[in-house]
Amino acid sequence: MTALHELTIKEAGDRLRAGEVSSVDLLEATLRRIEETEPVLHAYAHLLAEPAHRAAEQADREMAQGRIRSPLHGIPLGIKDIIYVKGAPNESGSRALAGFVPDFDATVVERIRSAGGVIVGKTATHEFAYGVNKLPAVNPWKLGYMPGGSSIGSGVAVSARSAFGALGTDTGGSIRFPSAMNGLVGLKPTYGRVGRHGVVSLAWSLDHVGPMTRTVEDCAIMLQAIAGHDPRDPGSVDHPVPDYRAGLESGVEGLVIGVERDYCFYDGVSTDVREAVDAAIGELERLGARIVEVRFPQFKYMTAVGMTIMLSEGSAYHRGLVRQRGADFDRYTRLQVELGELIPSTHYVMAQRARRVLRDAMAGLFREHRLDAMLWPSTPLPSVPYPSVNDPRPDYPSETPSQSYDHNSFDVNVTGQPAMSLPCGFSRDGLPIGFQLVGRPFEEAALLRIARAYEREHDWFTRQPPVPVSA
Amino acid sequence: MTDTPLDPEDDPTPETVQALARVIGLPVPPEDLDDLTDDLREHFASIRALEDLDLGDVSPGFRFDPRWEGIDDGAT
Repeated sequence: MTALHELTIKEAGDRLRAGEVSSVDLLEATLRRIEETEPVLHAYAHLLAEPAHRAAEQADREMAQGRIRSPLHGIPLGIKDIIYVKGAPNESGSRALAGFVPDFDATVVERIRSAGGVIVGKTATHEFAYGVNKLPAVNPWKLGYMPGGSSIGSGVAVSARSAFGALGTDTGGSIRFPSAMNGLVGLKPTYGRVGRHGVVSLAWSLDHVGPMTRTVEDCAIMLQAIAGHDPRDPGSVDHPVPDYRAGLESGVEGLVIGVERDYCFYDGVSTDVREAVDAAIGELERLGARIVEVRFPQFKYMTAVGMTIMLSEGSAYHRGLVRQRGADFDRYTRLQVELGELIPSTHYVMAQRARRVLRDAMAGLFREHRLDAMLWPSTPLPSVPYPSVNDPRPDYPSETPSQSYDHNSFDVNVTGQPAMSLPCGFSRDGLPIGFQLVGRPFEEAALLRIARAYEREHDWFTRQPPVPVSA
Repeated sequence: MTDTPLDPEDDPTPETVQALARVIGLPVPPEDLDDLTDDLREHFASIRALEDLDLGDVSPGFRFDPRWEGIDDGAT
């Protein structure tokens, strides 16, 4: 029989509603799992066992009275440590914020609570979500290997079964990258779909909050809980929220999926990744999708545009803190903040102008080919040993793994399109590989539908990492 | 002192970066200076590549809402 901590959100919710388990049972199973794995993995920055117990007991009381808030009711979840949880530390992976405790919940945390979710802890993040300082958590699939970033603790916790699901943030790939590295489903919603009030910003015009889960349906359940207009977030868009689970089983018959080869499948894509993603494309075609080869030479501008915006906005956000507490920043994070201050304002505005051109070009591509989605590798290569991330790749010496990991990720932060990473196999070394589905604005449901059709055919989603467990 | 502008192709040097940082009141620890200079060179190279893109009269992708929060638009 499946251990409680191994259940998906959907399965755990079904058992809760059937009265077979309680929310307190799920929480205690999760806390036991945390106790086993945390000495090795360090997925959590701060555990919130006591408040989680109170929330689980409340969920059980409500359940006993027949009140079920949502499919997330009573489910233990992790929250990235740049998302405010009232009364809990929010250090954002930085000594510069040591001891900071916000006195309000982020909008997404309010919504998770309203949906009945139980917040078990704050998950570890790269410092301020820049993704450049030393790893705060450990890869459960292979010790010493890169587990992705910056939503690293969310990825590790969900993969190691020490959370049923988690929230991450994505400014240049930080949900999709750790999802791919950890064999998970991760969704960066459309810009403006999910509110960001109460989230430490990396770059206001590129930041997104989204779910990281083990299955597509779990992802839909979490997105349902957090999507919707946030009047306290100036970037939020008031757009109707559909039922994300309604069309999940509709299949891909007749849907059109674009594949761009020149940039997204460039020579830096490793053999293992190329084979796995090509197999996924073939699988979707076999299931009834129409695969269309497309060209989009504008991809080559995306990273420069995204980086210029991210560095400029990030440095504006941290301008005061880096002057007051610069010595407490990790050196590599501080370099990013310093660099952003030295970028001329004309470059920033130029990047924002280019961004509109790129968005319009992407819209034109989708219209011309009547695309429902595009598909490309989440990362050009699987995880590598952490010490080598900044060394030239043996198989592609013109890039370091760090540079390769950025190659396919910034595009959708620049255009604001929804994108999700989902697992599609393993490398010869047993490391997860992911592919990315990219959709039309506010059409996350189409991505979930395609992802679910693929998921039904494979068991990648149920495989667990060989997590070392402390005695 | 010269009134000749810097050649746009000139790469920043640690000295120019330090001077720029001083002008904007940014304290840059000495150990950051060489890496920061390299990073800034890379940034300038990436921006030069963007110049190929025809921006025409496109305005930047900013959005600003001038409405006042909590005030009914129809109120007089």
